[in-house]
Parts: sequence; structure tokens; C-alpha cells
Amino acid sequence: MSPGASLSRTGLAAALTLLAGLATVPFWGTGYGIAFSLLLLVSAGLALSWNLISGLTGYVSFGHAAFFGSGAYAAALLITDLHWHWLPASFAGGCLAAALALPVGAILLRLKGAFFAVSMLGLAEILRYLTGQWSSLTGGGKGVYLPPVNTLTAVYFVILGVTATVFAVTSYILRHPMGVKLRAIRDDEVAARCLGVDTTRLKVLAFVLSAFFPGVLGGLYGWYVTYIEPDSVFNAGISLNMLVMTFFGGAGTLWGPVVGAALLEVVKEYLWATLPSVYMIIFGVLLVLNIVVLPKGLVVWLGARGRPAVREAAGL
Amino acid sequence: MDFVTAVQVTIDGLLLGGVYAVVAVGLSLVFGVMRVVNLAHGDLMVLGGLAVAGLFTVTGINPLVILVFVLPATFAVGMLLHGGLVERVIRGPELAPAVLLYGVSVILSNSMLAVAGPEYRNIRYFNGSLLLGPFAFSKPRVIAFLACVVLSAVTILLLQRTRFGRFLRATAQAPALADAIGIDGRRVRQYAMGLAAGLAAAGGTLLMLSYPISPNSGPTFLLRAFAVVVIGGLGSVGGAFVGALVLALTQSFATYFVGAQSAEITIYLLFILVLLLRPRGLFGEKEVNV
Repeated sequence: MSPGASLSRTGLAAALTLLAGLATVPFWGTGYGIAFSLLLLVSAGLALSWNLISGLTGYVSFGHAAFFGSGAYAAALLITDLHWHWLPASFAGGCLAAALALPVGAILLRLKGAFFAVSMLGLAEILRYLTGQWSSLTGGGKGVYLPPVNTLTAVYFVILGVTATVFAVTSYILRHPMGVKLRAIRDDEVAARCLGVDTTRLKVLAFVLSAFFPGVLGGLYGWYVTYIEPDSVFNAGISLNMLVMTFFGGAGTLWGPVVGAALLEVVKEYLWATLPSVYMIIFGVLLVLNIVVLPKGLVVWLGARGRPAVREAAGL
Repeated sequence: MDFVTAVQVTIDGLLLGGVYAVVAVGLSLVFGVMRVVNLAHGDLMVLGGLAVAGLFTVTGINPLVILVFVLPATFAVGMLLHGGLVERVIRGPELAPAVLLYGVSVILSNSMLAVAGPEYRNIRYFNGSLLLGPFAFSKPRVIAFLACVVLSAVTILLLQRTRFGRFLRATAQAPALADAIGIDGRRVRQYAMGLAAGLAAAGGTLLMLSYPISPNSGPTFLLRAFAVVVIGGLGSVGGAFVGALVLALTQSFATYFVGAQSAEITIYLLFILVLLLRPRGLFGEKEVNV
């Protein structure tokens, strides 16, 4: 099987079953169950988006909260100041995040490895800072209050749709030459360029895609929680979650971010309820253990010891 | 801006630059020896500072004396961090150590947050200013600067004049050759990390003599130290000093002209600009793959 093949017939069946199952949650789930599934879908969508640039090309971003936060703020301000409907406002948030990612990517993606990683960390910090200071537009540290949401169902389905779309986009990229080229960039960028891969254009394209979806999800998340502030949507914890969930499941794979998000969202929920102060510490420990013990992630590890059918379903 | 103000802002910038230099030399050493950006460096700095601040609050002893006792402990933290974790992934994928150290950074900052709370703290022990004509030299900053000069001198002597320093430089310049002549690379890397943690802790303590710091300050100072190292040229200790002065003066003047908030942005833009235009740093000697 060629490495580009990522969603076999079994995998597609599994994905569709999962999608159908998640789509029924609003009809039988309790309020808590729906809210939990919603946050799980946001996390999975964010991890999948992060995977598009960092998992596939190896350009690890420590600051993807920059895009989540920009989208959340753009959407929230469109809703409160210009009275937009939340749905187009969230997509406008995604467009803003993508528009931001284009010049940022064109500049920062020239930097290699840790230099890119740290400059992204700086970007998220600077945006959090700017949003907090620019109070005439953003309300500063006081944050933005959004109108209360009457029903979660509509926003749940939109989030499900966005996350399913990132999954489909990832699957498409992995099956097509673009995925092979992106992974060639990860393995040896100079060699890829010598073989005629337009590395800069591809990297920036993957980066813009990986910024657009978090922007949309940021807008939807803000609408769902009805209140955002710089420290909540530009939080370093959001960047951390994307990274930990993707690495835990398996960076660069199709199912890794989904599996990682599903498992760790449960862990997070449990810790939130029992030990809120140590939740970040435990995520840090998980990341460290992950890198030392299971560097390729759960999906790849299981795949390596699984039956061929399992490996195929996992897209390995 | 008149002449007196310009000189005053320059003085404040230079004094701050001394502290930045000590912190940045630690980051630069680790990068030079193992090509790893220590993402936990800022948090090690805050850890050292908060440890000394805590002991100072309890005992009331001169914080510089406390620092002398805290330094071996932070050195041990760095050694353990390297021996226990970083060394295990040093031969793995290129970014594995950086991601691992990012995890360590999250653990450190949130542990400190759980213990000490989110408040900003400083160490108020030295107060007042020395006046020299129209110019004021803030005492805590002058003392911090002098301590940094001593620490830097010790570090340079260590690197230039001792056996360990030669081993370290050999490992940084030609790892394979250093290995071939029997230098234990693992131990050199471990000592380098210990030394870096010690320098970070010293920098954190000295900065806290005049500036307040919180457990959340780690990333801010990581970015500052990283900017210093990038401006001065990676892996070059001398460059780190020049970079620290450039950055501190920029920060000082930007704060004066555009305010502290926009100064943060100015620093970030300066850092990105240097990375793009002079990836070897303004004074970097050797080719570094940025």
C-alpha cells in the first residue's frame, strides 16, 4: 500500500459510522453529554487543523491559539458591533485567521525547526497582548459578551460539520500528491525542493488551511460560551491541547488527532472536575512521556502491532 | 528627548542588558552544545527567582547570599532534566527535544502557579539610587549588573581556561571529532544544561531585584533570551553579550518613546527581522542552519 493512501474502505466506513453516531447525540444526549461532545469536536477539529501543518510538514507550531483567538474575536465583534448572524460571522473569523496566516506563513515558514516554533509562540503572545491593549476595538481585558444561546443543537451541527470537513480535507491531502510532497518536506526539505516540489507554496497553503479552521472554530466556540477575553481564546493551553492531542494520537496521520482528542478530552474533563489546578501539569507530563515513550503516537504504535485490517483502517 | 534623558535611558538599558546577557548565555550554551532550543529556559529563570524570593521572604537574608546556596540546586535541576529526559530523545527526530522541553515548561510554570499563585513579585532588598550629576543609577540594577559581570567572567573563564570548557567547546564545534577523541558527549551536554539552568536562575533572581515576575513570565523571558541569542548569533557567547545590549537598549528606548506595550511588539519585530535578514545574527561567526 502506498504511503499516500490514508482512508481505505474500512476507514471510510468507520469515519461515516462515527459521523452518524455523533450526529445523533443532540437527539438523545443530556445537556451535559451534548456540551461534552461539542467540546470534544472542537478539540478534534483543532488537533486535525494543527496536524495539517505541524504533523505533515514537521513545522511544529507552539502558537496556533493565535488563529483560534483571532477568529473568535473577529466573529464576536461582528456579532456584537455589526449584528451579524453567528454563522457567517464565524466563517468570517476563519477568513480573517487565514488572511493573517498568509503573510505570517510566508515570513515565518522560512525559519526552520525550533526557530519557527518559537516565533509562533511569540506571535500568539503578541496577539494576546495586542487584543488586551486595543480596548477601543476589542474591549481590552474586559472581554466581549455575546448574546446567550438558546439552543446548542444548531451550533453543535455546524461544529460537527467543520470538524468533519477538516477530517475530509486531511484525508484528501494524504491521498493526493500534495500529502506526499508535504511529508517529503518533513523528511528532507532540500531534497524535496531539488526534486521540483514548490515547497514554499505548499507550506504556506497547508499553513493557511491549518489557520482557517481554527478561526472558524474560534468563532463558533465564542458564540457557544457567550463570553471571550484575550486570556481565554489566546491561551497557551489551546496551543498546548492541539499539540498534545495530535502527538498522543499520532502526528501526521489521519486518525491520530481524532483518537488523541477523544481520549484526552475525556482525561481533561475528568481532571477539570476533580483537580482543576493540576490539569495543565498533567498535560505537560503526558506530552513529555509521549515524546520519550511513544514518539510516533498511539495510532502508529497500535498499527505496528495490529492486524493488517486494523492497520489499513488506521491508514498506515 | 533631551541629552540627559537619552543618557539616562541608555544607562537603564545597559544595566538591564547585563541581566539579559547572563540568561541568554545559558540558552546559547545549550544550543551550541546540542543544537536544542531549551523552551523551558524562561521557566527555569522564573523558578530560580521565585525560589530565592520565597527564601528571602522567610529568612530576610541578603538575596545574593541565598542565590549562592540556590545555584547548586538549580544546577542539579538542569542536570537531572537533561539526564532524565532530554538525553533520551537527543538522537530522535529533530524537534523531539524542543517539544519535550515545551512540556517541561508547561509543567514548571503551572506547578509554580499552583504553589505561588499568579501574582507578580519582586525582591525588595536593595533600595534607592546612586546619583552622579544629573544621572540616577538605581541601586538594585547596578548590583544586578555587577553580579552579572562577575557571573559572565566566571562563565567565560570556565569555557576558555578549564578542561571542561575545552571539552564543551570541542563538543559544540565538532561533535563527531569530540566523540572520537573520547570526550563523553552525554556528560558534557548534561553539565551544559546544569550550567544553563544555573545562569537562568541567577538571571531570574537578579532581575527580580528591580522587576516584578510571575509564574507566567517564563515564555516572555524565553522570547527575550531567544531574541538576544538570535541577534548576537547562535552558539556565540560573545555575541550573546552584544545581543543583550542591543535588545535591552531597544527595549529601553522603545519603552520611552512608544510605551511598554508597544515595546514588546518592537522587540518581537526586531527578532523576526534579524532572523530573516541576518540568520547568523549580527555578529555570528559560523554557519547555522536557521
